[in-house]
Amino acid sequence: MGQPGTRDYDHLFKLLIIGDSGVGKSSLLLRFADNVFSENYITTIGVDFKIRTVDMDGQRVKLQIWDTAGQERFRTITSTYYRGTHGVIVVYDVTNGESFGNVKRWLMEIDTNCENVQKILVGNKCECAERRVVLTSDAQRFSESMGIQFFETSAKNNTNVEAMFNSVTRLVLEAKLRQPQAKSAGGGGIGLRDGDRGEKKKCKCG
Amino acid sequence: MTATSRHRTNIVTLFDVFTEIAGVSAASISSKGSPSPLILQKYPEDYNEESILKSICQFAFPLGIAPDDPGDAAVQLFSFVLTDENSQLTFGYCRYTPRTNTVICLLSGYSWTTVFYKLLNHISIVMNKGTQDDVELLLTRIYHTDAPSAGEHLRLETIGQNLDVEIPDLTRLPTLKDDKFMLEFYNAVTPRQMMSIYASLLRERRIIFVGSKLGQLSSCVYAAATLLYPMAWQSLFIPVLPASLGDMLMAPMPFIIGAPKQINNPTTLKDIGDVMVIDLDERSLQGAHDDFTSLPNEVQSSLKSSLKVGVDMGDSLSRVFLRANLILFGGYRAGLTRSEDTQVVAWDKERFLSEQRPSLQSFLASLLGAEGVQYLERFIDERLKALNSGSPISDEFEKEANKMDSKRSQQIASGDILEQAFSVVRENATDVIGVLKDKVRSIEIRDRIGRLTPKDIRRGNKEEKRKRSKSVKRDEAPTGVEPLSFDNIQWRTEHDAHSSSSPSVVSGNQDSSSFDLIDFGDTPVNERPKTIIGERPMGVDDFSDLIAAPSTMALSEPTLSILGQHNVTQNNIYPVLPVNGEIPPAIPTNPFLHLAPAPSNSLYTNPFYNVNVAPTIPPRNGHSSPHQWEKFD
Repeated sequence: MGQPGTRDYDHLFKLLIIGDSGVGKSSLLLRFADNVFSENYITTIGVDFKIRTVDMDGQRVKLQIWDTAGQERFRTITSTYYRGTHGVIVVYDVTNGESFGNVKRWLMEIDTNCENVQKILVGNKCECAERRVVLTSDAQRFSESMGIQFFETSAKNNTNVEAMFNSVTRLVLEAKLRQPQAKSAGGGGIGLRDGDRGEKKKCKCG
Repeated sequence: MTATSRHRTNIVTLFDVFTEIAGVSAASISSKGSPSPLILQKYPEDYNEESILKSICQFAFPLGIAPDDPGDAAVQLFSFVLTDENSQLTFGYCRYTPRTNTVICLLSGYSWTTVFYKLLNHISIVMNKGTQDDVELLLTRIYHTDAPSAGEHLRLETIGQNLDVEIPDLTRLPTLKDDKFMLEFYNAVTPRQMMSIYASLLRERRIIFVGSKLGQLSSCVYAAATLLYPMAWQSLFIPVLPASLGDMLMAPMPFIIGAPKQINNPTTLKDIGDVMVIDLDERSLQGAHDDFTSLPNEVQSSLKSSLKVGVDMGDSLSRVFLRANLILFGGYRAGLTRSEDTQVVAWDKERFLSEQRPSLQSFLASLLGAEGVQYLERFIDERLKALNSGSPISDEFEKEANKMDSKRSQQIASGDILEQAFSVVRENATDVIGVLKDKVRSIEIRDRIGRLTPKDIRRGNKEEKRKRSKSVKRDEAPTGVEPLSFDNIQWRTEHDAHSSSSPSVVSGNQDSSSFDLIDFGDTPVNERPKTIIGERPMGVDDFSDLIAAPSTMALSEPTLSILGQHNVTQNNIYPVLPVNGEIPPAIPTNPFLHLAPAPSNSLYTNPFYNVNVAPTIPPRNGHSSPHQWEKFD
C-alpha cells in the first residue's frame, strides 16, 4: 500500500467498522472495497482492513476501513479504540435484537467521550424481511436522538451499501475541511510526522 | 504471561499441532513466484486446518526467509500469537535452527513458555539422535496427555534423555528466574524505558517493539503486556508481525506489536501516526506522548524508587508494577454497589472516583472517561462477574489490595479522611467488601505462617524444595480423590518411575544441557545486574508494606497453591470439556468458603454463601486431581 515517493490521494481517512460478529461487517466491506481479493487476517491477528479510493467533489479520498475481532465481548468499547480514527461505521443486524442493543450502548459511549468522531448507524441484512426484529422506525428514532445518519443495507443484495459508504466519507471529509489544520494538529499534543495528514480527528482529550 | 480472559477455553490437548518447517534461503528467491516455507512433517498427521498451517509457516518465518544474520548461528527460541475471531489467543512456540534453516513449532492454547521451549529442545534432541519412530512416539505421548495443573511436573524420558519441567502457576507473578520473557525484557529494556512503556500501556497507546532478534522481540512484547497485571491488554497483540503484514502497523487502534527490524521501513512509518517505538537493537525509545510525567505523582515516585533499588531474580520486577497498579486501581472496590432488590453487585464509576484520593482522581477519571481504556472496563466487568457468581477472586493483586485496606482501617482512629471515606464505602457496599476482607484476612494469616525471610528463600536450594514437595505429596496421597477422567497414563508411569528412583535422577540434568542451546540475547544470565531488593525499600507512605518479602508467595505453603489452582480454573485456562463425557460434579469452587466466618442471617442471599461449606478443599474438577501429580510449590 505504501507508495513511496508519490501519493495517489488528497486525503487518507481511517475508518472503523464495529458491530457484533455475524452482523455482516466483512460482507459490507467486500461490497465496497477495492482489494477484495486480499486475504482476511481477522482470524489470524485479530485485525484487518480494506481499502477504497473514491472521488468526492474532485478530491481523491483514500479510505482504510479497519475491523477487529471479538468486539462483542466489550460492554462498552472505550474511547482509546477510536483515538486514531476519523469515522466509525456502527453495524447491527436487523434480525438480531442483541446486536442492536450492543451498538446502542457503544454509540452512547462514543457520543459521551469521543464527540469529534464522525459516526453512522447501519442496519444490515434488510433483505431478511421475515426475520426482522429491529424495526426501522425504532432505529430511525434512536439515530435521530443521537443526531446521526442511519442506513439500512443489504450486503447480500448490494442495497444501499455504496450510498452508506459515500455518506460516511462525505461526513469525514466535511469535518476535515471544517476544521482548521492548525487547531487539529495541536489538539491533544499528537505528534504528527506528516503535515498533510495533520487533520486527524480524534477523541477529545480529557 | 498471566492468565487472562483472552486465553482459549476450548483447549483439548496439550498442543494443537506440531510442525517442522523448512525455510527458504534468500539466495533461492531470485525470480518471481518466490517459494514459501514448506511443512516437512506435522503431528497429528491428519491435522488439516489449512489456514492455521499457512499461518504457522508465515509466522515461523516472519521474514519469509531465514533471518539474515549469517554471523549468528545460535538456535533461536521465539513465539508468536494467533488471534481467533473471538479475539482469543493461540500461542506458537518456535525453535529455529540456522544450520538446517528449519523451525520446529508447537501450537498451543497454553501460555507456558518455559514448558514449551523445553519441550521443543527435547523434541529437537530426539529428532537429532533418535529415529523417526522415536519422534512420533514422543509426540504421541505429549499429545495424549491431559494438561497438568500448576506446580505439577511433566516428566519425559526418551532415548535416554530426561525432561522434567514444572507447569507454571499463571496466577503468580512472573519471575526473572523462571520467566524467559521477563528476563529478556529486563535485559533489553532500561528501567526508564520500562516506566515509559508502562505509562503508555496504561494509556493504551500504539506501541511497537522493533528488533532483529525474534526471540528477544517476542519476549519483550509478552513481558510488556504483563506489566498491566491483574488487568489484561485487550487490543491488538502481535508479538511477531510477519513482514508481509507490515501494513498492519497503520492500524488506528491500540496495539502492542513486535516488528522485525527488516520490515520497519520509513515509508510505512510515515503512515503510522503517533506511536511509541522501542528499538531493542539501539536500546532507544521514541514516543509522541510523555505519558510517564502525566502519571499521578505517587505512582511516578513509587516506580522510580523501586526500580532504583533494583530487582532480584524473583518476582520483584513484576511487583514494582503490581504496586503501581495497586496505587491506581487497588481501591476499585469503593465503587461496588449492591442492588437491594436483586442483590446484584454493580460498579458505580462516580462513586469509585469520589472515594479515591484527590491526587489520583483526575487521572482515573480520564481513564474512565474521555481517554477510556478497555483493560479497566474488562477488569471491572470480570470482577463483577466473579462476585455475582460467587467465584473466588484470589490473585496477588487482591491479596495486596486487602492488605492495603486493612492497613487503612487500622489507621481509621487517626481521623484520616481517606479512612473515613473508606469506612463509608464499607457501610455502603455492605457485605461484599466485608466478605472479601474476611476471606483475605484468613489468607494473610496463612501467608504469615508460611512466610520466610527473603534471605531464607535465597538460601533455599532446589533440593530442599524438592524434598519438601515430596513430603507434601506423601501427606496428600491418602486423601487423594479418584480422578474422573484420565488419559495421561504415560505421564503417571513416568512419574511413578521417577518417584521410586533417587532424587538425583530427578534433577533433570538433560534440561540444563539442552538449555545451553538457547540464545538468551545480548546479556547472558550470569552478567545481569545482581542488585537485590531490600525488604522495604520504598517510601511511599501507605504502600510501603506492599513490597515486603517479594518472593514469599512463591514459597508459601501448599494450601495456597491449591487456592491458586482454583483460580486458574476460574480463568478457564484449562480444558472445560470432560474428556470421557463425564460431567464433573458441582463442586463449590470457592476455596474461601470454609475460611469465612459463619454467615449472619442477613448474608444468606449473598452469592458467596449459596453453596455448601466444604470441610476440605475439593479437587478442582475431573480432569486431574491435585494428587495425581507431584506438587512442587
